Amino acid sequence: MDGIGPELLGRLLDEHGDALALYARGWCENPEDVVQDALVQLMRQPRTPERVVPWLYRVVRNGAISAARAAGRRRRHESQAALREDVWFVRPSGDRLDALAATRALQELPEEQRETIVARLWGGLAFEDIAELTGTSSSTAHRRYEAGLAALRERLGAECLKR
Amino acid sequence: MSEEMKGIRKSEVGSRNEAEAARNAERGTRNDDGAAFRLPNSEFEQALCSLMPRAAQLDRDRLMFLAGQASVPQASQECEPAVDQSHRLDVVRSRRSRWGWPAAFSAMTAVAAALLVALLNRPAPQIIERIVRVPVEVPRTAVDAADAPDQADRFAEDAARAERADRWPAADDSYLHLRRQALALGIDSWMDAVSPPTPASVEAPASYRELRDSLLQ
Repeated sequence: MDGIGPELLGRLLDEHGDALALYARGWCENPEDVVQDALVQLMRQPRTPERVVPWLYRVVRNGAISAARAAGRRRRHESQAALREDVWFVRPSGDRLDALAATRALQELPEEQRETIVARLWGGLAFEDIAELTGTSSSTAHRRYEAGLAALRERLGAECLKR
Repeated sequence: MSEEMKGIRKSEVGSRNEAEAARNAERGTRNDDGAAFRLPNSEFEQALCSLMPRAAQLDRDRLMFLAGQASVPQASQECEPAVDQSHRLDVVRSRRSRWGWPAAFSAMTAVAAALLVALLNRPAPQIIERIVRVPVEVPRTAVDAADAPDQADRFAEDAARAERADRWPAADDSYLHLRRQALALGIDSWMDAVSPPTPASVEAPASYRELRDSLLQ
């Protein structure tokens, strides 16, 4: 397969840029830089990866974890406070869930559950891809997804039913 | 079947069910990019999916610029093989020069450190006592003097005899002896010396100085 062209890069940015940034936001507070680096790194590849989107998620994950480590060394408390005040979603048209509440509920999830849910729901990755991404099996990824959903339902479900 | 075995079988069945559920969740959800279509099963998942991720504040122009910059070596690789060869050589040279000096520096530092350690841990010099026998030549005179105490008297006698011989030539003196005496004391004294005075009429001078004084007078 040949290298990435500008059209494909633009399409990837439009379709997956926000979800990739949301995925990276689980670790670091500068997800845009991480996503940009991942896309530039994709352009450097002599051959296009067989499956571009999972490849991008893997690169974003590694970059976000590295950025989080670097930021954690500098100012751990400030980034935690910034994460708490950050809103990860925009209000949907139906307004069935509160964006801030959903953000906080997601932030309170264990890291592996949050990562699985974001990659599955907003990234659209298959469980096999998530398993490969996180270094686990498909069943473990599925179990984490279900557990995370249950936790979110417990936190947001009542609010969801009210609306 | 024991309770433990039942538990293991249950967990196996459970993980198999989970894997099957995961596969069922995947079924028909792939697209061409390798990502999956979003097919949330429950209403709650649909509600979550309706939350749109906040737009990433990515500078599209900058990203395109960086992406183009990143793709330049790849383009030159494909289009200009000659340039690529020289570029590769340059890269190899720059890599060598980049690693050469640090490697040499590291090696020299390691050698210096090893030498320093060896110097600091050097064992103290051992003093080996050894008896060396050196043959020393003892002067014969000293040995003789030590062996025979009257040897000095003998030397003195010899010296006196020689002086007497110098002073008065013997009857059997050779020509060389006479010539030496003539050169030393003059031709007149030689005439006197040739015919030695009788011991009764002339007293023999005690030394060369007396002889010279007598000649001068």
